[in-house]
Order: sequence, then structure tokens, then C-alpha cells
Amino acid sequence: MIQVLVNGVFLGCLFAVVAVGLTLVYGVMEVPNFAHAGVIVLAAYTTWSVSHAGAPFAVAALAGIACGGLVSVLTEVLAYRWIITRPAAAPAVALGLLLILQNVALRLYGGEGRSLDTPYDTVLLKAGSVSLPGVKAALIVLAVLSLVALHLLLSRTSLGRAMRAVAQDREAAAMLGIPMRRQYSLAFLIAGLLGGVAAVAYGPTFQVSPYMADDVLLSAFVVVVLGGLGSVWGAVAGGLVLGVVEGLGAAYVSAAYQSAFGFLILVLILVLRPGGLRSTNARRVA
Amino acid sequence: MTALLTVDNVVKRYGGLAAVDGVSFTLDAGGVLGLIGPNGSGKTTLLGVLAGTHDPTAGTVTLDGRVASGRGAHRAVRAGIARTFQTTRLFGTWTLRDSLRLARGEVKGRTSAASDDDIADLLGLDGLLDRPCGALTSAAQRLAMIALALATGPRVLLLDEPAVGMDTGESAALAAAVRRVADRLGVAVVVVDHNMHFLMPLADRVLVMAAGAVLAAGTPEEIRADEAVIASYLGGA
Repeated sequence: MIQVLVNGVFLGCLFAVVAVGLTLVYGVMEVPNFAHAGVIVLAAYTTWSVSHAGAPFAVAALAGIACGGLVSVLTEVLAYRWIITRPAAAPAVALGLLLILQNVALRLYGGEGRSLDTPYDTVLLKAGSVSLPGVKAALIVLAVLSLVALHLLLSRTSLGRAMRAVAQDREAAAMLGIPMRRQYSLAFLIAGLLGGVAAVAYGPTFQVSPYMADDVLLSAFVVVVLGGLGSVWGAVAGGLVLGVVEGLGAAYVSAAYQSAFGFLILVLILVLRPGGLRSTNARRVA
Repeated sequence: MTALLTVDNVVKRYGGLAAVDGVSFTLDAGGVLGLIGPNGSGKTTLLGVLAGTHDPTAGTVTLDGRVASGRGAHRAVRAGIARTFQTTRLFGTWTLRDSLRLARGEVKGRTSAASDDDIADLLGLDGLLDRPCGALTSAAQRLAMIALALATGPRVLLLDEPAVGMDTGESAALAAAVRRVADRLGVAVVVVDHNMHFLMPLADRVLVMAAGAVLAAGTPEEIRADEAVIASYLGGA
């Protein structure tokens, strides 16, 4: 049972890191950023390329995370910014961007999966009957560190306060002289960096491929709805709930239906608490 | 003496429609200008041009001799032009004090010399600074919106229908608060409102707009007596 919960926490941390990036962007710009999966893919390939070129894994990981931030900001500057007054176009633009980013990866690296090796591949943490591979432990640590850093940014800095203000009411924020474009870019930068963290942490547990983040993106959107659109801590809670539920379902019912348990929870939440776990009347990034 | 705010022949077109058509006026520090006219006459669009949210098709807005139009909303705020909206726009889960802190933090270098308590005192919001904005009464929320605008240290304050939804007592208190802001802080105020009982006693001068253009301008007494204004807008008000 504890082993199952630990596996669920691993999945939950992955979902949370991806979902927080999605919900941050949604909170500030109201964009369902499907292209986030493409950002993760390019960040993972960058990590693989730099590592494959002989650089230490830490350097490759930093390059991957930086790539995630850069590509994410580029999607905002080159595409989303131009449709801010036409929100109905956002889903189509987001899907188009996803296809572009995935095809860039396909063109550069082909469709074959690549293995991302890490210095902690062979590490196995054991506590009694519970074991945790090094790659999964690294993901949990990276996720916790990233989310704590994000919390400090949002709650302790003027940039973070401005971002939370924009998420609550864009016009009120503009009234105070907050530059909207800076906030949009900042939200995408943070989301991209978190996507990069997800790529670095998630890549070694599976394989790096152009479609590696599709399933994670779907689960992350479930988490965003679970947690309440625009709520960072709702996304964290939703991620952990979904991860544990999927882990338990896979262990005690059937791994074939792992994703189905998540969607079952989604339906229940939509019926019982349509605004999400942390719903209030106001949108928020906090 | 040069006027604080100069609006010079401002035009705002949407395709073939001139929402604002050659509007000019000046406003001194501490003055209150009432902007009235029927729905669709271009008042809110003109406020948008003054506030930097709309770029003028032609003409300029200058603040203390410097062009302030067409540079974006956040630059207008930083230049010293703040606004409020017809509908209440606040950060509902934040306290008024936290919201004021954000306003001060965003407009570094030119934030209001008035403290939070001074602003609350001016607007009659004493004792409400530590309440969440979403928990304030409707009238207090509209005053809170003005408080946020004041915290950015404006030289010009644009109020878009601030008295909407208020009863007679609340709108009279609002008028007194706006007057205090103009007199004590030296802020020039442009007020758009349809409530003549609120606006006429408050304004030093009134500009009447119709179909995007200026129909009449003058003191409230002159406007009340203007036949064209009575025929097209005021009626018996």
C-alpha cells in the first residue's frame, strides 16, 4: 500500500509541475496552452542533445530547462499575444503550435525514442519494503523545489503580486499601471521553465520522443480542472489527488484503466464541485 | 498659465465611424470637468484615449506639455493619468490595503504622497482598509476603485460613471469625496456620469458630447441653460 502511495506521489508531482504551468498561463491570459506539451518535448530533446554531446547531466538539465522557458516565451510573443482580444481563437492556435513544436522535434530527431541517461539511473532508495528509483526521487525533489520557488515568487515579490493581480482582474491591474505584456511573457516564462523541469525529471523515466508529453498534458488538464482554473495550489492538490488515485487504480484494479480513474474523478468533481477543489468566486494565481 | 491636461482635436475612428470626432479641451490642476452626453456619444471612448487604452486616430493628449496619448495604459498611469471603470474592478480576495500596496509598488517614483490612511480619510473609507475588497458594499467598492487609482499618484483622475447604482446619499458623499481629492491633492478630475444631480454641483465645467463631437462646453449653469443641450440630452434635468 505504501509503495503504491509513493508511486502515486511520483505521478502526482509530475502532473502538478505540468499543471501549474498550464494554470498559471490560463490564470493570466485565459489560454488553454496545449502547446505546453511541445515545450516539454523540445526541452527534453535539448537535455538529451547536450548530454549526448558529452556535457555533464546538470549542464544538460539546465540547458533543457532554459530551452523550455525560451520556447514557451516565443509561443506567447509570436502567437498568443496576437489573439489576446480573440479568445475563441486560442484553442485552435494552441493546437496548431503543439503540432508545429512536435513536428520540429520530429524533423530534427526523428520519431524514434531516445533514452535520457542520468547519473542517478542506478540509484535505488529503500526504506523497509518501500523502494524508490533515483529518477523518480529526483522528480519528486525537483517538483517540490520548483513549486516552493514559485510560491515564494508569487507571494513575496512585486512581480508575483502583479501576476496574481492580473489573474484576478486584468482591467483592474492595468488601472494600476501594470504592463500586461510583461506579465504575459513572465507567465509563459515560468510555465516554460516548469515544463523544462518536467522534461528533465520525466524524460529519464520513459523515453524522449515527439509525443512523450501528450498523455501527461491530458492528465495535467484534468488536474487544472480539479484544482480550479487559475489556482496554483489547486493544481498542486489536484495533481497529488490524481496521481494517487491513478496509482491506486492501477495497482488494485487494472493498469490498463489507469487514465480512466483520473477522468472518473474529473466527472465526479464537475458534478459535485464544478469550480474545482479550491474554487472561489474570483480567479486567482496563488 | 499652461493647462495641466490639454486635449487637442482628438479623433478616434473605427473604420468609417468616428467615435470621437475632433474633441478639444483643457483642464487645470484641481479642476473638475464633467463629461456628459447620450449613450454612444463617445464619452467612454474619449476616456479610453485619455487613459491610453485607445490610440487616437488623430490629435494629441498632453500632460504638462508632454504627449501622453498613444503610449499604452501602463505608461499613461506612470505619466500620471489614472482611471476607474463603469463596472467595479477590484481584487476581490485582497484587502484594500494590500491592493493599495500593489498600486504603489507598480508605479515606482511617482506614487501618491498621500498615505493609505490619508486616501481612506479623503474618500470616507476609514476602517475598511483591512477588509477584503470583495466584502465591501457596492458603494464602498466604487470608492475603493478610486482609492486604488489615487495610490498611483495621479495628476489627472478619470472617473467613468462613478455614481452608477448609488442612492442619493451615497452619490452626494461621493461628490464630496471627489471634491476633496481635487482640492486637497490638486488632482484634475474628469467625470463621466448620467446622474445630473451628482455631476452638476460637482463639476467646475461641463463638456457635452453628441455623436463623438463637442455639442457644448461651459459652466454647469451655462450648460443647463443651453437650448441645444436641453433639446438633445438634458430635457428637464
